Amino acid sequence: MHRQKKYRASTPGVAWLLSELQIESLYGREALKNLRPTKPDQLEQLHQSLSELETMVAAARNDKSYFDQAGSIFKCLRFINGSLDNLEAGQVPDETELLEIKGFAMMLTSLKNWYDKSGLQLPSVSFSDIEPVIKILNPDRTIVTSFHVHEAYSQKLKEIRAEKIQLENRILQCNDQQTRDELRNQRARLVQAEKTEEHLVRENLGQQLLEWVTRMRHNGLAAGRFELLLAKTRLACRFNCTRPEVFAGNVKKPLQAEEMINPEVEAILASHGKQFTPVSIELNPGTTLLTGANMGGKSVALMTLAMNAELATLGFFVFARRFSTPLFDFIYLITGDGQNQASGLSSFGAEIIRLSELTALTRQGIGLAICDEFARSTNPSEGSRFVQALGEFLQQSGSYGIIATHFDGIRIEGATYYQVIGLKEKNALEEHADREALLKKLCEKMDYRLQKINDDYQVPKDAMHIATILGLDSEFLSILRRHYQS
Amino acid sequence: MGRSLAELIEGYSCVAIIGMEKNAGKTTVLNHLLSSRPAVVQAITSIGYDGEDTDQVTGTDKPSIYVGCGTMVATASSLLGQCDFTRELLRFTGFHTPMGEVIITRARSDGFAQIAGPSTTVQMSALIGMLHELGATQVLVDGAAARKSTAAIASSEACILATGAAFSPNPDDIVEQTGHYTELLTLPEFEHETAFTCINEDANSCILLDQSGNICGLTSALSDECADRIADRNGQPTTALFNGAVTRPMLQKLLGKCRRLDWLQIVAEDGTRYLINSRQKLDLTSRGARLAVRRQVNLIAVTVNPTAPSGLRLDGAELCRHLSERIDLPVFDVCASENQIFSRKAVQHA
Repeated sequence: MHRQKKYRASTPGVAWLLSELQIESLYGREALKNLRPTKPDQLEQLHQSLSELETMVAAARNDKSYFDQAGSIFKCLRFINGSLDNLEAGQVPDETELLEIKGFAMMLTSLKNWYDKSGLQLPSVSFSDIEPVIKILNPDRTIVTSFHVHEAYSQKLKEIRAEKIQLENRILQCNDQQTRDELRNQRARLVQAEKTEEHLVRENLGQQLLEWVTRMRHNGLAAGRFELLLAKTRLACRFNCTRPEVFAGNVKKPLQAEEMINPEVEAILASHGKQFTPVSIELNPGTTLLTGANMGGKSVALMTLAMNAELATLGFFVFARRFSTPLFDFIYLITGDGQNQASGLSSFGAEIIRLSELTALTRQGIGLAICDEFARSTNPSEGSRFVQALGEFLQQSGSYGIIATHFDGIRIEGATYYQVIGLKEKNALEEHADREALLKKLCEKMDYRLQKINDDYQVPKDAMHIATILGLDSEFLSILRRHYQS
Repeated sequence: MGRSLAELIEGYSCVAIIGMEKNAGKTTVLNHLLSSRPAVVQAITSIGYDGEDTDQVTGTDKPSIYVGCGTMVATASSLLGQCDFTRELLRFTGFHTPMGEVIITRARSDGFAQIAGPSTTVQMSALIGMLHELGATQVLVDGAAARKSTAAIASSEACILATGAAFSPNPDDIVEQTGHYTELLTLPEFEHETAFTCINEDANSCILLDQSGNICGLTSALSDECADRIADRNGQPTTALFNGAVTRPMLQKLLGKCRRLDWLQIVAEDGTRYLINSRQKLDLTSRGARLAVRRQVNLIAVTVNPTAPSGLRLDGAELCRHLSERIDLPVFDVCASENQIFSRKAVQHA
């Protein structure tokens, strides 16, 4: 079987979501492993799989227990590819393999029956009829989940077993040690004959099953795809996700994101009794610059955007009220926390290496580049030049780039500018003593939404204000104030 | 005449047979119980795998387990080929052993079985649950030899202890050690779940509780200072809880430090965790120490195999009589002949 490495998510949000997916069977896990971003020439397939997901989500929203029966099948579905490989290699299947294949055939048959009745008719999911496999492995009229090498397969086997049972009863009733030993020897010969005959029967069963191997493999793959689709459906229902609109990357339309949510951050906030403020933003091809107060949620906004863009390319529903995006060739993050002392790289060094990779990618296609406070760890006079250059580079590249920065005076021809709305009523909360209360108050007073601004903007100078709110030492603050005034 | 062994186990949904030693006659007991053909559906499994057809050291034949038609057998997949009863495979269990996954089968004829089951308490309990679910009314567990039998003890309702000449050629020694071990298994229960749950499962820990049950000390049961920490409490009422072994060197050191131990209660998970001999136990109790367990074993009988793999043959009736005097439990001779209590005929007449 063609084995691929597991998909590595480009964004931490997607990595978190993939780890949260409920996938029970090995077939489903294989399908998840083979998950890949949609390539630019596969836009049609992406639309199709989003339509499939839409059908599933509609069914699940309409009836919460709609998928319960199908979902329960995956819990006990065994991965039988090893047994199928052995069959194809011409090996005589042993009893456990036959039990495994029978179990698989029964489960897939009930899944197929359910699916056919459900009327879902998804183009990527179809199950072959493998009911005859059950018949091969269950010669009795009553279908049972167990398996044994049945007497019905061979008259000779039936005779051997009848004789063996007679002997066993005689052994049981025999009190004479010598006679008993003799009977046991006779029985041992019958056991041998039984095994030989059973082997022939299994060999014959193996040959009968051979023509079904391809269909069983097909059904395994389809089951895996369906389970992954089911996991996507559950996720979409749990978080009330929406279908993204995805268009070709070269259309040069803006990426529009309305009221995005970050489920991971939302869960953390909820555990503190707080709510996530939905984020909206529109990105034109070229550069978008994002500024805003410290603690204003710039990083969260960027990560939420990146996650949703990646989800769309993977055929998931997105965490937004509306999300319209080009099909990107790549989604690339530079977050400035790549410091790695083991490899001798400083934060800045790591950023430069990431930057080199990004520039190479922009030459190969149209992507989404997300840069969180680029060059923040070097000196501001040089750092701001790096950011200016990065902005100009992305503006020309044809890719969609967004850069969050605190540096003043970055102006890029043709770029879009956004700012976190920031603190409301700036003087309302300076007298709090308890830091916990201050922090809570600060979060309440912070407006995390983004607003579009003109290029004559000022980078907000809220650092001292926020330091004051957070209760910084008063002596320190007075020194600081002197420097602000000078 | 007392009740037969097969009658004794009636009504128990799960019975474990544990041995003082290898070749103590566990298999003979199992075969007896299996061949008594009770009206209930029996199932059999084993803690781990108890080895080969012949004893590798002595080269003597070891009896195989012989199951009757209808019996459920839970064993590892690679041993199925060595079982010679006609069988139906009922289900996979998902429990993997070195010999393959444990599979539940049903015998459709009589025959010999090679059995390897799971070796952890959690898996054994789950397996017993599956067997009951499939319709078995009584599960027999072939437990391991003495010190390794925790999983069997913990998941069973009742236990049978097998002893015999394989343990020692000296009848007095057999009687003494079996009596001692029986006492350990049936030590009184001590209940303090909360204290036990705060012990790290993996570590061999010792928790000290004061008179009112509050934790006043925690130490590794394997470290040299364990005895010191207990001895520090000298004179103040103390309970020492062990989740692993209660070892001889530790107790020896404690005995060397404290003349009186009437302030001390020692509690182990179960009786198998006391790695002490009868003399040491006497030493402890005569100084006033009380021994207890978290889980008392419901020991319902002791069986004796008077023959040893070496060919040694002791007087079974004599051995049974001595054991009966020492132990307040029914004692059975696994090699006794037809007219004796152990035989199938006796059972059928009963």
